[in-house]
Amino acid sequence: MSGILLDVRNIGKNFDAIAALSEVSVQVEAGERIGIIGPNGAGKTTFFNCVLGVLTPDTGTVYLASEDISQFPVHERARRGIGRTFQRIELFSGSTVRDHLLIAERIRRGTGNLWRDLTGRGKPRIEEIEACDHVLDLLGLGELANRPIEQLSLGQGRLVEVGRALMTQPKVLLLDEPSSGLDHQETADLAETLLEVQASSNFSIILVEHDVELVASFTDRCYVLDFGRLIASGATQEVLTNPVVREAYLGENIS
Amino acid sequence: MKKGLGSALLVVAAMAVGACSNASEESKDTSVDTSTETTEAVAPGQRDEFVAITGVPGVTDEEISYAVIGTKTNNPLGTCILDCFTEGIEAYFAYRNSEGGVYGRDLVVADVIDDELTLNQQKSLEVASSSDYFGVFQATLFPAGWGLLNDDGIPTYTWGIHGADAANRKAIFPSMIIRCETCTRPAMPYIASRVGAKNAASLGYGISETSKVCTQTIAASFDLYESESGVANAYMNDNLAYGLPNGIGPEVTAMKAAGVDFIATCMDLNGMKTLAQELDRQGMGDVVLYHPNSYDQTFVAENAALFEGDLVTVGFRPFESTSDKGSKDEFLKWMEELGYQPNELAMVGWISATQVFDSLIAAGPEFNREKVISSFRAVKEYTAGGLLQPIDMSTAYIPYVSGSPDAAAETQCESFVVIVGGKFEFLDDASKPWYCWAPGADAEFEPELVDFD
Amino acid sequence: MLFASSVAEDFLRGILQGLPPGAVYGLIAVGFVLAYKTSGVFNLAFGAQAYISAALFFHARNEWQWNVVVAFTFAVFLVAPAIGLILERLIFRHLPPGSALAKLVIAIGLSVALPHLFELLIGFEPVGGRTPEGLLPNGGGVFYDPFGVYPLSRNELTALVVAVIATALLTALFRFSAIGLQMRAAVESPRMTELNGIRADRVAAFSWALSSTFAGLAGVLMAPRFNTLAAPDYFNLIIVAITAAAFGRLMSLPRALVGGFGLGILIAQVDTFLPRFSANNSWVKAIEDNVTPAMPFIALFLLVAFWPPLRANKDQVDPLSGVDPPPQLPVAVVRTRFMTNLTHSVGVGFLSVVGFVVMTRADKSWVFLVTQAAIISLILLSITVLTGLGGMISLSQGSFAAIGAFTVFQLADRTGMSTVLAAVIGALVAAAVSGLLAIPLVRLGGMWVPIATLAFASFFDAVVVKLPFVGGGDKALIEGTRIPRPVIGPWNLTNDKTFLVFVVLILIVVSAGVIAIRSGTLGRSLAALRGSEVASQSIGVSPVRPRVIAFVISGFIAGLGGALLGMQQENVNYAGNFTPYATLFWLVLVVTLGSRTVEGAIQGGVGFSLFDRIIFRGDLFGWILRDPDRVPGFFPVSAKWRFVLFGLSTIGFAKHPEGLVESGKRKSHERMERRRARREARKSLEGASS
Repeated sequence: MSGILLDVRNIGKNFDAIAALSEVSVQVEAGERIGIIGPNGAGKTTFFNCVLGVLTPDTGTVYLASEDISQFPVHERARRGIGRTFQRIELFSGSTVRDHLLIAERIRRGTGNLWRDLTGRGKPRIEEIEACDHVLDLLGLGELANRPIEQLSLGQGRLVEVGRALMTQPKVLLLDEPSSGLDHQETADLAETLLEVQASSNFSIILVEHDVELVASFTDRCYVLDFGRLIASGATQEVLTNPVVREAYLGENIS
Repeated sequence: MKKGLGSALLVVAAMAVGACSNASEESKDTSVDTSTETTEAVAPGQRDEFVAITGVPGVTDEEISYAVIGTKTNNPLGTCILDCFTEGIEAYFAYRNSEGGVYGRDLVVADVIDDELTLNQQKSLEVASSSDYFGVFQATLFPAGWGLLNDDGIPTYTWGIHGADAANRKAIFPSMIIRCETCTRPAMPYIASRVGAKNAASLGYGISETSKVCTQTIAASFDLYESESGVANAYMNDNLAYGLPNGIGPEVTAMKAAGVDFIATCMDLNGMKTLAQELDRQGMGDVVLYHPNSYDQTFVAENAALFEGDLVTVGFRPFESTSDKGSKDEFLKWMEELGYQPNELAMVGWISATQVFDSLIAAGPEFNREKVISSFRAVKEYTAGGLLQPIDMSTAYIPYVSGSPDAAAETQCESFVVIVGGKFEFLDDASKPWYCWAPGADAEFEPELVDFD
Repeated sequence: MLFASSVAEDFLRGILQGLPPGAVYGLIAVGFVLAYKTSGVFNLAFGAQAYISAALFFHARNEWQWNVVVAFTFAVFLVAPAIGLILERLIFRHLPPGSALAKLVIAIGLSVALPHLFELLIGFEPVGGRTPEGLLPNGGGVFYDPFGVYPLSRNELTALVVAVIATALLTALFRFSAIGLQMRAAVESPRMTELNGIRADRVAAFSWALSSTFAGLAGVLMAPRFNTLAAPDYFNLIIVAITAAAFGRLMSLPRALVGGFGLGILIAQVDTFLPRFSANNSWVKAIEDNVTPAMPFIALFLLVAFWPPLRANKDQVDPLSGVDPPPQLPVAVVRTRFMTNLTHSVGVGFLSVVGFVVMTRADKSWVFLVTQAAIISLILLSITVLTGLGGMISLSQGSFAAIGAFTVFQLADRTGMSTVLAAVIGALVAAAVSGLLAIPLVRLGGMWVPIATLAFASFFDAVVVKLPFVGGGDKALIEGTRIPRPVIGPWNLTNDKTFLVFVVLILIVVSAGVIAIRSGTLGRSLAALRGSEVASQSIGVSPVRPRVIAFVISGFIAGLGGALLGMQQENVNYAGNFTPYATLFWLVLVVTLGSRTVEGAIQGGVGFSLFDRIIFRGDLFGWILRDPDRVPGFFPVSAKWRFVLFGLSTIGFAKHPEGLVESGKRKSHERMERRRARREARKSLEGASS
C-alpha cells in the first residue's frame, strides 16, 4: 500500500494576533513514522489539535485516505482512523485501566446502543475484554488491568493512553510528547513496544517530541516547526544535521 | 424550602377569587329574604344531653378533640395564619365551654400542627391515621391534604381561600363559599358607582389561571353593567408579574392615560401597597382602590395616608357593624378574655369553630363523624350565627360556571368597608352590613341593605 | 386615547421607570460578578447573604431600636464581611481551584441553609406588609423629578448612585491596584500565586470579605422595594441578576451594571409599548401574556444557549491542578466480589424487614411517607443519571417531574385515559422536553448547564404552568389539578399499600435500568466524557449524543416520578412539589448523600420524606426510650433545621465529592481491610513461629 494516507495542506491558525500556525503542510504515507520537532511554543500541539479537530484552523484542509475530513467533529475524525495521545495526560478518573480500553473498543465496534444497555446486554463481552487484555499485555500493563487509574505512575498512564488509542485501530496515531515524564529506559521500552505493535497492524505514526534521540531512532522523516512555520523537512538524519534547524531548535549558534 | 416565586402565587390568586365571588346560594324565590332564621337544628336545652359514646375518634366522656393544621414556618407572605386562626378557635371553644360545652363535653384544641408550607398532606395524614381527633381545622397555603381528609370522612373546617380544593368535597367546610369563579356580578360596578367613579380598571397577576380569570371576570362585570352604573371598563391587565418585582410604573402610566379613577384588583396586600405607592408617585393618590385582602387593622393603620378612601371587602360581618346580631361581640369579648388581638384570621377561626359547634348540634347527642357531616350538609340557610350571609350547606360544595341555571338563581351579598383615617367605616348603614343583589339578569341593579342573624 | 402622550415622552418615562428595578438588578449582578471574579464561586448564595444583612438591618432598626448608622455599620460592614470570612475559612479555602461544580453545589446548599440558620438564630420572621425602611429618613416618601416626567424616590436614587459609584470603584480596584490583580490570579491558580510570593489565602479572604460586604450593601439598599422582607424574593432576584451578569460574560463589572439597568429598562419599555398593539393583534397579545412575566428567564436562557461569546467562556483549569490528589474510586470497584455480595444481601434483607413491617404494621401516614420516599428516590435517580453518571447539573428536574404530573392530569381529565398509561406518556413528554433542552446546552462548560436549566425552570414556573393545556383550563379552575389513582386489572391502587407495592416495583425496575446503563456503553461513554472530554472524543465518543441521551433518560425518570407523585397525592400540587426551589433541595440531597449510586438516591428519598418524622419529631428517641413521654423537651426540633442541616452538609461535598454514603462505605471498607491485613499478618507470623 502506497500513497499519501494523511494529507494536511496549508493549515493556519491564529490566536488573537499571534500566528500559532501558518501554511503548514504535512504528508504521511501509510505505515510511515514521521516526527515533528520544534522548540516550546512552536505550534506542535496546536498542529495536532487542528488535525484532530479540537481546534478549527483558520485556513487549510485535512485529508485522510483522500477524504476531506476538515468539517468533521473530533469524534468523527477519530472514528475514521486518527488516534491520539496527549502531552498533558488525559485519563478518565474513576475508571480502571481496562475500562479505558473497553470503551474505546466498544465505540470502535459500534455495537452499543441504549436498548442493549437497558436490557442488561451493555456489559463488556468476553471478546472485547480479550481484545483489550491483548493490547494491555503488549504494553506490559496486563497486571494492572483492574487497577484504578489513579494508582498508576505517570509513565504507566502514558502507556494506558497509547493502549486506548490503539484500541481504535487507528490509521494514523498522533503521539504528543510520549517521553515526557518517562525515564530513559521507559522511553526506550515504549519505543520498542510501539514498533512491535506497528509492525503487526501497519499504521502510521506522527510523533511530536522534544527527545531528539527518540526522534532520531524512531522516525523516518521529520518536520521542523518554529514560530508556527515549517522551516525544514526531510529524512530525519538530514534534518537533524541541518544548521538552520540546529540553530532554531537546539539553540546552537553555528557561525 | 420550596417557597420560591411559584409557591405564593396560587395562594394569592385563590385569595383574590375568594374576594371576587363571595356568593351564596339561597332559596329560589327572587326577593332577598332578610329575615333568615338561625340554624341551630336542636333546641338549646338538648346540647347538655350526655350520651356515652364509644369507638368515635377524639371523643371521650369529657372532651371532643380537634387538631389545627396551618402554615406558620416558611410562610412567604409574612402574614399571621396558623397562630391567629388558632386564637379565634380557642376563643370560641372557651366561650362555648364556659356555657358547659356540648353534650356534656368540652371542645378542645388537642394539637396545633405547623405544616411548614409544604407538608400539609403529611400532617393531614398523621391526623387522619390518629384516633386522637374528631375533626380538623385547616388554614394552610397549600391545601394538599384536604382530599384525603375528605376521603376518610373526617369533618374538616377550613378557611375560605381554596375554592378548588373544597369543590365537590362534602366533608370540607370552608369559612367562605366560592361556587362560581366566572360569574359576572353587579357588586363591583355598583360599588364603583357609589364612589363616583367613571373609568374603572381591573388588575391581577398572570401567574395562574384563577388569578387571570378573577381579573377578567371583574372587567366583564364592568362591561356588563356599564349602562346601569355609569362606570366604564377603561383598563384591564391580568398579566402582572407576581410580586411586582419590576414595580408597576408603566401600568399606572397607562391607567393615568385612560383616566382611571377606580381600581379593583385580585392582588395580595403587598401588591396593593406597591400599587398605592406608585399611584401616589404619579399623582393619582385620589384613585379609589378596591382591596380583596386588606381587612387588617394594623396594616391599614400603618399605611393610613396611602389607603385613605379605599374600599376593603370583608368575608364576614365586619367588626365595625353596629347590629347586635351575630356573635361578633362575643368574639371580641372572648378574644380580650384570652389576651388575643382580634383580626381577620382570628375571626375566620371563630367562624370555623362556630361550624364545629353547629355541626355537632345538627348531628345530635349520639354523634359520629358521618352524622356530623351529613346532618350539617342538610342545613339550608346557614349563617354561622349571623356572621355570614346565608349558605345552603346542601349545595355549597358544588361549583358551577357562568351561564348555568345555578348562576341565574344566585343571590349575591357583599360586605365592604371604607378606610378613613386608618380605620374601617361603613359607607352606609353600619347596622345593615350586607349589600345583597337578587338573582337573575333583569333584577334591580340597586342592592338591598341587609342584616342576618 | 392611548396615543395621546408623545412616544418620545413615554420612552423617556419608560427609561426612568426601569431605572429603580434596574439598579437593584445591577447591584446584585455586580456583586455576583464580583464574587465570581474574586473567588471563582458561582455564588447562588449571594441572595441569601444580601437577605441576611437586609433582615438584620431591618430587625435592628425595628426590634432593637438601633440608630440608623449603628445598624447599618453592624449589618453591612461587620456581619456581612464576617459571614464572607467564615465561609472562606471553613469551606471554600479547602476546595481545589477549578472545581466549579463543587463550588456551585455548595453555594446551592448555602442558599438553602443560610436564611433558615439566620432566622433561627435571630428569631426573625417575615412580617407581611411591613416595608423595610431605607438608609435616609423618609426615603420612600421624598421624590425628585428632574425631567418632569417621572419622579424617583430618595431610596431609589440612593440605590442608583451607590450602584454606579460602587461599580466604578470596584472596576478601578481591579484595573489599577495590586490587590485587584492578585485576586484574579488567586482565583485562577492559588499555587501559581503563591509561587510569586503572594499569600493566596489572605487574598482569598479579602476577596470574600469584599464581595460579602457588597452583598450586604446591595441587600440593605434594595430592601425598600419589597413590601415584605422575605428570603425567597432575594433568591428569585439572583436569577434575574445572573441574566444581567451574563451580559458581562460574568467577568465585567460595568457591563453587569449596564446589563442590570438594561433589563429593568427593557421590561419597562415592553410594559409600556406592547399593550398598545396587543389589543388589536392576537399574536402580540400571546407574546404579552407569555413572555412579559418571564423576560429575564427567557433572556438568560437565550444568552446562555445561543450567544457565542458566553459559550467560549469555558471553565478555568488550574495549570497546576495535576498536583491535586485524584478523586477516589467507588468502593464497589475496589472491594472483593464476596464483600459486594455480602453488602447487597444485608441491604436486601434490611429492606425486606422494613417492607414487611410497613406492609403489616404501619398506619396510613407511615405508608404515605414510605411511598413518598420511594417516589422521591425515583425522581432523585434522574439526578443520579445526569449528575452522577453524566457529571452535569440540571436545576430543572422539578419542571420535568411537573410535566409528568401535569400530563397525567390533562390526559385523565380530557380523555379519561388510565393514569398508568398517561404516566408513561407523561414521562415520554418530559424526556422529549429534556432532550430538546439538552441539545444546545451540553456543549457548554460545566456550570452553564445549571444556569440555563435554572432559567428554564423559572420560565416553566412563571409561564408554562398557567397555560391551559398544562396546569390550567376549566377543570383546574373548578377543582384544581386532581388526579385519580389507577386500577390495573385486579389491583385497585386507591389502596395505599397496593400503590406502595406498585411504586416499589417501578423503583426496582428503574434502579435496575440505571445500574445497567452505568455498566453499559452509555454509562462508560459518560464516564469517559466526565473524565476527559477531549480524550473521549479522540477515541470516537461523541461529546453530544451520550449527554443528550442522559438528559432524555433523566427527563423520563423525573417525569415518571412526577406522575407517580401526583397519583400518590391525587393532585399535581405544583406549588408544593415542583417549584425551582424544590429542585435545589433535591440536588442538595443527592449530591450530599451520593450521586453516583442507586443507594445514594434511595437514601436521599428516605431523608426527604422520613428524616423529619423519625429524627426531628423525636419518634426515634421515643422508640429507643420505649416511651414517647420520655423524649427530651427540645423535640420536636424546628423544621428549619432540616434545611440548615442538609444545606450545610453539601460542604462535605468538598471533601467527599462521591457523597457521604460512598465515603462512609469506603471508611468501613478500609477498616475491614486493615483488620483483615492484621489478621493475616498475625496468621503468617504464627505460621512462621511454629
